[in-house]
Amino acid sequence: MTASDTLKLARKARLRFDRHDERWMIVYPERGLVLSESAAAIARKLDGTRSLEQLTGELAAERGADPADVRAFVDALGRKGLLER
Amino acid sequence: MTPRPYTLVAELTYRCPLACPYCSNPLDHAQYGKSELDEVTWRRVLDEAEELGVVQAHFTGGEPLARKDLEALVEHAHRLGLYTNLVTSGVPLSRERLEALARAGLDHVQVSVQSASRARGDAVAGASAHEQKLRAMRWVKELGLPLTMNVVLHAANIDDIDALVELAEEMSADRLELANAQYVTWALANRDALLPARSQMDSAAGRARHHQARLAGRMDVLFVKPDWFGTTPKACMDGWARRFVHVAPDGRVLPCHAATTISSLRFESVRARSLEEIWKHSDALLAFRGEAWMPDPCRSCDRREIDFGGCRCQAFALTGRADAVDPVCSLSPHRHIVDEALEASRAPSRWLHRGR
Repeated sequence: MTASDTLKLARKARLRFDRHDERWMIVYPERGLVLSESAAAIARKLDGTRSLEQLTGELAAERGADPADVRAFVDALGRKGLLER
Repeated sequence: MTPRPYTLVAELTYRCPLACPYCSNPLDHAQYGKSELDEVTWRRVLDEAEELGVVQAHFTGGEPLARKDLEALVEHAHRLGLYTNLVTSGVPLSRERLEALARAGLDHVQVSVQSASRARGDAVAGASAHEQKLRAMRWVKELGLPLTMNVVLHAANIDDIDALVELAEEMSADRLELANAQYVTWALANRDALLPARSQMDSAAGRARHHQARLAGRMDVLFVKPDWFGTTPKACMDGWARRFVHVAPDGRVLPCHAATTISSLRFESVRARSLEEIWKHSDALLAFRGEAWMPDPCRSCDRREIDFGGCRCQAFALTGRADAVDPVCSLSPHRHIVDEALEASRAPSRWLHRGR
């Protein structure tokens, strides 16, 4: 992955709002990932329209998010195979 | 507090055109044909499951494609916001039917493959199925659906990890599940023909690790060494009636696909009570939920929140008591049963196919 690639959740992964616990979740075969509010804010932007640089910039401006935290979460999703490749 | 189930395993039917000798269905699966739930009841089960907290529905069997209402049920689950997964042999499937399932909102398809070779695959399945499975996997990818290729591993195919991975790559699978047979129901009946030697298992685990590293970021390769080859129990179903709720073709609510083998338990059907009532109050689901049932040394074990006491079906099958320590555990007084099976000669024995 390079800085200019746009980021998108893998086809197998679905981002959904859980009405029971009122939290966002990423659901994929055999697993689910319950997201914190800040993780959900990142995940909701993984729609294939932004590069990592744009993503960290937007989240810093909108929420004061630390770019290092955003990168760490995106990397973790990538390691789990949850980003399109 | 009653735990929240996240996954519904909807076993729509035990009917199947294949006859694999390690089938996870009950030995008496043929008895269920006339007692299958109808579409209206399955829709209610999906509604009630979502209400309970389920976010994911696996449509499985038997062969779920044997049900003509599969598309309608997938669509219903999709409308409820559930992640839908079709667990299929790929037989009988047409491209048109898969397109209809995709339109209904299907999120993921898992296709089982018995071997990397047609002749050996068909010998395991007891049917001419391998070529059709390859076609089915290609359609899945052509329609843009995520694909898991699943292989149940046993003595006769576990030496073929390299060829199986190669096939999964050729099919552009997103995931490859190399799933060792679980020795309950049919696989237990065929254990002497199916159980690999320890040297085979070690070598397969090594090859799987090699491919996991090589394919990292491109294809997920899952390989879990089976509990028999270790000394601690598996976290079976993440705990009894905790995260998974199974509904059998006849409507009985189970903690796992094999639980009806525990003949001392009586499982209740969604025909008589709601899924919620059964999940919260059924004696069979309460029997091993939590820790109150645990024998020594489980009840004071540091691992009790990791493995939840292991597999109750296995304890029952091997010791005759569902509340016994899982015999896989090195602390079980029955561990010798597992060791003796592992040491038994793998002389060329023949397996018995399940009936169709």
